[in-house]
Amino acid sequence: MDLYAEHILEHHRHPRHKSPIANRTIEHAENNPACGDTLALELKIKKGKIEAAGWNGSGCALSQAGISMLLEKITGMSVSDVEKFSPKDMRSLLGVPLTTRRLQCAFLPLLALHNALRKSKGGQTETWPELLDQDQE
Amino acid sequence: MALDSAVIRRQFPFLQERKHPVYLDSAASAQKPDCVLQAMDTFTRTRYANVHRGLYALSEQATDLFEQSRNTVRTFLRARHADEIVFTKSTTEALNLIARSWGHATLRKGDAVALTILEHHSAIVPWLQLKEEKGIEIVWIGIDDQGNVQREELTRALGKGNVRLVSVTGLSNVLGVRPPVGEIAAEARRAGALVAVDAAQWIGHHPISVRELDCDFLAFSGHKPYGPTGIGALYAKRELLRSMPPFLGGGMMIREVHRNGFTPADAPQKFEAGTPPVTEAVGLKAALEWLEAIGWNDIESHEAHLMRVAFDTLRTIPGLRILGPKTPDGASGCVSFVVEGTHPHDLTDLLGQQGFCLRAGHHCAQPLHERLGIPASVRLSVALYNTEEEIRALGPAIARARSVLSK
Repeated sequence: MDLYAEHILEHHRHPRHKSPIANRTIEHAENNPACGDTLALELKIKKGKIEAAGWNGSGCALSQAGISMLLEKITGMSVSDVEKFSPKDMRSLLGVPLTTRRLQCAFLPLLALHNALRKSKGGQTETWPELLDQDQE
Repeated sequence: MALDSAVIRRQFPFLQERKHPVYLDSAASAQKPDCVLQAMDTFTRTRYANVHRGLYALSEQATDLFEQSRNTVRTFLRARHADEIVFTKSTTEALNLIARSWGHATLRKGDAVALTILEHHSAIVPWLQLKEEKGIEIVWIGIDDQGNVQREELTRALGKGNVRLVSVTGLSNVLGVRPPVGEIAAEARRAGALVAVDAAQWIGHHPISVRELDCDFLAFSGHKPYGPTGIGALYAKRELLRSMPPFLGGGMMIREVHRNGFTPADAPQKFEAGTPPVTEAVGLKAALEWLEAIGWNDIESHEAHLMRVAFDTLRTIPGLRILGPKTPDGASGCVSFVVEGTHPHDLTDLLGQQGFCLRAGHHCAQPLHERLGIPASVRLSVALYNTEEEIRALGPAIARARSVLSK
């Protein structure tokens, strides 16, 4: 299957959750140093669950579709499950073949999510190499 | 047109591959002609030795070749002396050398360095590092919408009296514009400031004379003018190099070393610690000689024609906006653009799938992209081996890519 599969293009054209949310408990922004794509994520966490999620940003079809699909997936999930969401899970969520040159586009949403959750617990943020290492595992 | 592109293309093994893509990314790195590859291969296979060390004939010959390469660079840049040429790893290292050596030794808090908004990150970050370290000031010189440097901003900055160096690109790696480096250098000199020129893009497209420019520093890389990666050079006026402290410590850069101190060698060796890129120097020499043999008139007229074709082709595409110069005579080597509703990454990925190599991103010029109000752009760059047909074929390819994203 092609990277520009219909479901990717559909999310790209009609992104879900692309708006600010009320009573957010965390906000976190990440960018892709290679291309300047930006992604700002907002989460409302209540009783250990992702109650609401929103985002804003600009970038390529893959990163924008990726955050749209990711937030659709994690809304309502428990924080402990979302924390375990791995690059492998992101690959299967996207469901298209990824080449090296597009890995950072594909994983920018995941990096933003991981780091938003880490930030909420006062932990150290994850770096790109650390995230890409998990993809090798 | 005097240049026979079939003859040029035959000299590039890359273009002899049965299925090769249309390569429109020479501003990032150019393909290599046979003569460069052969020179490096022959040297590595049969003449290889380290330089400036052995007293045996083989090492002496390698040293001769290395120094001949330095002299070829001198001739190519129209510099007065071969010892004004320091070999580096790249333009980036050469520009860092200016900041780390000259800048570190002479700049004080309150001194300023003026940069145009066109500059590549390698001409920006070393000065930002000195800003953090020593509190120097960075003064930005803006551009108009066509990419021309705002000369009155430069005049105003120089009028303050604290600008010690002006760093300016000779050819923008995004907009293809060519700031009037000679005039800028003259004005800077009258204000007591030095001038550093980033010639990374300029070097492969137009002749350079550091004597005519009367610039203080000029940096370039080997792999843009059809030579190898891993080698670049810094030109600096002889008296400047004499006054500058070494940049890296190690072998070859010293006169003597004792347990409690050292005396550096003379320039250029003072700045060439460690085993230099000898094979790459041999390749660079071959590349520069190859370019000079083709002749600048033919190079310039061929590439000017390609730029006209590029503008013609891009202008027919709905929703496409060319950044900077309005006409092809204002741009050289490259032209960048954005297409409404299409992210540069998606566009170049889809073009890549159709066999066209173009670069997308901020091209290591984020301040320029901020000024242009866009996060990224697509760049089409041309070289001697490109043809009119290759560029014309890009029009339908962009249309096909857009239809994938907007269907």
